[in-house]
Amino acid sequence: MSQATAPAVSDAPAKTSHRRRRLPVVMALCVAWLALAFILAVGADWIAPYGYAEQSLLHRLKPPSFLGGDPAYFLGTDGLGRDVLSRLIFAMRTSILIAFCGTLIGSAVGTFLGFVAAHFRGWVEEAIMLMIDFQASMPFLIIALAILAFFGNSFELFLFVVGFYGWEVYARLTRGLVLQANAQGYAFAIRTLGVHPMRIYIRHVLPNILSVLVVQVTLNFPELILLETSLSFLGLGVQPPQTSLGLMLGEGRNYISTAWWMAIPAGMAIFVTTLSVSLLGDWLRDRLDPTLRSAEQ
Amino acid sequence: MTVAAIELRDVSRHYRGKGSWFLKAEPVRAVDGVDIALNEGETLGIVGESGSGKSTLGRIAAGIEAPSSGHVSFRGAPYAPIGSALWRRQRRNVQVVFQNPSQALDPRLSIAAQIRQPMTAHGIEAGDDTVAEMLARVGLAGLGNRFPHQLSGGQLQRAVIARALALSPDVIVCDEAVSALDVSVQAQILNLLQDLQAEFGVAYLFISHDLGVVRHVSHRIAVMRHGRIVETGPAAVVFAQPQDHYTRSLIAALPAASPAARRARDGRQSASLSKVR
Repeated sequence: MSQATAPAVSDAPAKTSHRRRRLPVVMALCVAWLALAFILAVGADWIAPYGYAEQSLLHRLKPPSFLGGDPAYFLGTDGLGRDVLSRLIFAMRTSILIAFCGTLIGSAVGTFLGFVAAHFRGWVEEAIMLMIDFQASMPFLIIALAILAFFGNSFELFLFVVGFYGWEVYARLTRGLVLQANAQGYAFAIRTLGVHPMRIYIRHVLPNILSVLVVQVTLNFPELILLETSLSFLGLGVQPPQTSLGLMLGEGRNYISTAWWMAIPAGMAIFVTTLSVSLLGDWLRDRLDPTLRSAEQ
Repeated sequence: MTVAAIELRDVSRHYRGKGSWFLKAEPVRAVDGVDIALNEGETLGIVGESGSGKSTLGRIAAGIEAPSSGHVSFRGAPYAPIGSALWRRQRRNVQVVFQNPSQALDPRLSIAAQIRQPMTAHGIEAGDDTVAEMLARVGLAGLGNRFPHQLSGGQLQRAVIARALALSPDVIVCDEAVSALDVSVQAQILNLLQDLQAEFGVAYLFISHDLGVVRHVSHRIAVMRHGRIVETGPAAVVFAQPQDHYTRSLIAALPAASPAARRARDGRQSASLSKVR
């Protein structure tokens, strides 16, 4: 994330760039945590001390090693004698993968539909706006539950459902920004030069609205992690023996009074990850907002 | 008789007006039955107060807005439907310079890239030296790597003019092209436009609410009011002997360069004033 903002910062006049280049400590922590989460997700097979389904029934419900448990199990074990730390690492991989793919699908579909609506106007726009309103007015968790309960559960369908979440925000944002650019701004001026609309959208409008969309991604991503955890917690998301952060929370619920270490690490991981992405999004919005940027100059 | 660069015949542009539950919406007649022709290589000034329809007229003449009725022709041929492939090719001949240059340029592209762009879009070979030459021609030599927010308003308008000239068009529609600029910068841009006209023979449709600016650059002037052209003629004639009372009031409202010039213009008052002195 910090690398992505670097070119925008270097465009600024020298007098303001010095202050703006510094990353606040909190942001550095957020970036560090997200980098760690990413490394864990990618390298889970090598980093995790045990497999996520590896049971040892002789070591059931051991507390973490730093609280007098078995030194072989740093965060203790669950009701089937599986290592909580290993399961946490694999759970983060699953949850982050789902949230990442979901964000990718949602933002791509939403942005595309936003462009389509703004370009064609007329009944195409009406239809897309109707879909947006429809999506925005339905509680998404209910839709997701209905789809998963009705069509059965598979990883692909689950990805599709999660990807379906939040596309309407991208669509509405994109449509508004493209209309604005088309009506009076640079996009209209470039259109009068005789440049093909497709080229204008890809080469001019998209790079200009990307900052807004990137911020929306950072707002959308934690919501998707929470959606995944909610659905998995309710038993309609990721299925055992696969693991995810929500599933770990759900499994740990039964033992919360006797073996709190099953649920708490997963809860902490959810909390810290969503908080990091949200804070980073807030910070990015302040950095990338063109009105704030021009006010600084 | 030669064919005019752009000719408008009985052109009207009506917008749907605001209605209420009881009153039927009256159409807003932004442009109402206008006949006008822009000759090759000349500057035709269009003046009028805001809301007089002069900008709409400019957009119709440039072909970026379709008239509700009437005929627009460029060198005797009508414009293709807006957005069609042929229309995009026709854009090469007519360019528009807008009022606010900072809105007309992509904030994320360097000036050089923006000037090169119309040429690549129209399949014209555009090397770095071609772009550098264009930049030098409008007085922006060496600033090609700058981004729009690093240039002043006058420099931005020069960049927009360079971008328009890159396609060597026959006509440039200047829609309030200098209104957003400082007076000293206005003069520079106007002189630049005149130099370019002498060099490339480009015709200007120069739209402005500023009578002084229009007088400075125009060969002919058309005065617009409420969507109609109330007076048209050679610039010198319109200013010396305005026929329409609206034109006379516009000219009277113009600030004079000196008290003497004002007295000379407003004849009858000056006699009494000089007696007092």
